[in-house]
Amino acid sequence: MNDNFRDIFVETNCIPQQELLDYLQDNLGPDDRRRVETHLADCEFCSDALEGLSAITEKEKIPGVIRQMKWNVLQNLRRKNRKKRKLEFYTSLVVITLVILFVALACFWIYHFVSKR
Amino acid sequence: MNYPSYQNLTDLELLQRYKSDSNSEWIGILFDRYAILLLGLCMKYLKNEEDARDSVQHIFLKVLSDVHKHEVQHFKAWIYQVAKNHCLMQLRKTNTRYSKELDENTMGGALEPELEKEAKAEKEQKDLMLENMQEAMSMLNLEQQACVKLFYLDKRSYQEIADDTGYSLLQVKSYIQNGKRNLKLLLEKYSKNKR
Repeated sequence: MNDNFRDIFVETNCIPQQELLDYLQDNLGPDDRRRVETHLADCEFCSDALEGLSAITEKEKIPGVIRQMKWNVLQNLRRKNRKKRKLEFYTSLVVITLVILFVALACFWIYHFVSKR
Repeated sequence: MNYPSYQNLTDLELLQRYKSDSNSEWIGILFDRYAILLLGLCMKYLKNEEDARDSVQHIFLKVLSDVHKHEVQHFKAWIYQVAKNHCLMQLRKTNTRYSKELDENTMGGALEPELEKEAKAEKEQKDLMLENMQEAMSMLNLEQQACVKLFYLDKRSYQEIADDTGYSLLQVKSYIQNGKRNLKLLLEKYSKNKR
């Protein structure tokens, strides 16, 4: 009996997206189903996720929903990065302008001082 | 960017690469790994598909903005906690009562690599713990006993256990999870007392 309980101490990796969807839609064979369920008994994150996913009515649309969310997130990130780069560009432009202005004023002042002597 | 070699990178490696070059494609790989779990988690708490979708995107963007502020050691545990907190905040905002307490214990802390000696000691510890299995099993409540036995001993699936016992699938899952956790605690206690 005890050896059968060794599974209790086995730690398994999280389930890939496709396998999770197959489990939800009852498309897995007994061995794969067993592997998923052994993991679920061990992983609160996957177990909670599966509970929530099973409440989604149109499960076949989940991959499409995820693709759309990914597109939104990446667009948002790119927009933020563009904004950040723009800000960095303008900051450096201001700094360079100030430096040139300072150098020009210094040159003018030195020229003026030397020519007066 | 979606070459197989990049798929093998760990979460932390992907985050490091994103931190150094701000290339959003690294985040795309990370998103593929966690989006479905986050969607399910948000659905469990918020019970609304649209809210869950919005929350997943919000959580991901929040995590990415926070990633520069914190030194993340366990990305999965961290994002799970951030997501749970976000959902509970959402529920609080909409005045929905939710009594579950937050568990902050899963945050941070690096795991040391296991030495061979430690692995051996761990195995011996497990063997010792298994000796008390029968006694520990009898300490579980009847529902947990039945479900744990059927799942681990008879290798039955959740659905089969639900059919046999008349419990719902959610109950079966919960009895197995809680039974397993209680069993581990009891076995650890017994083995400590024996030493």
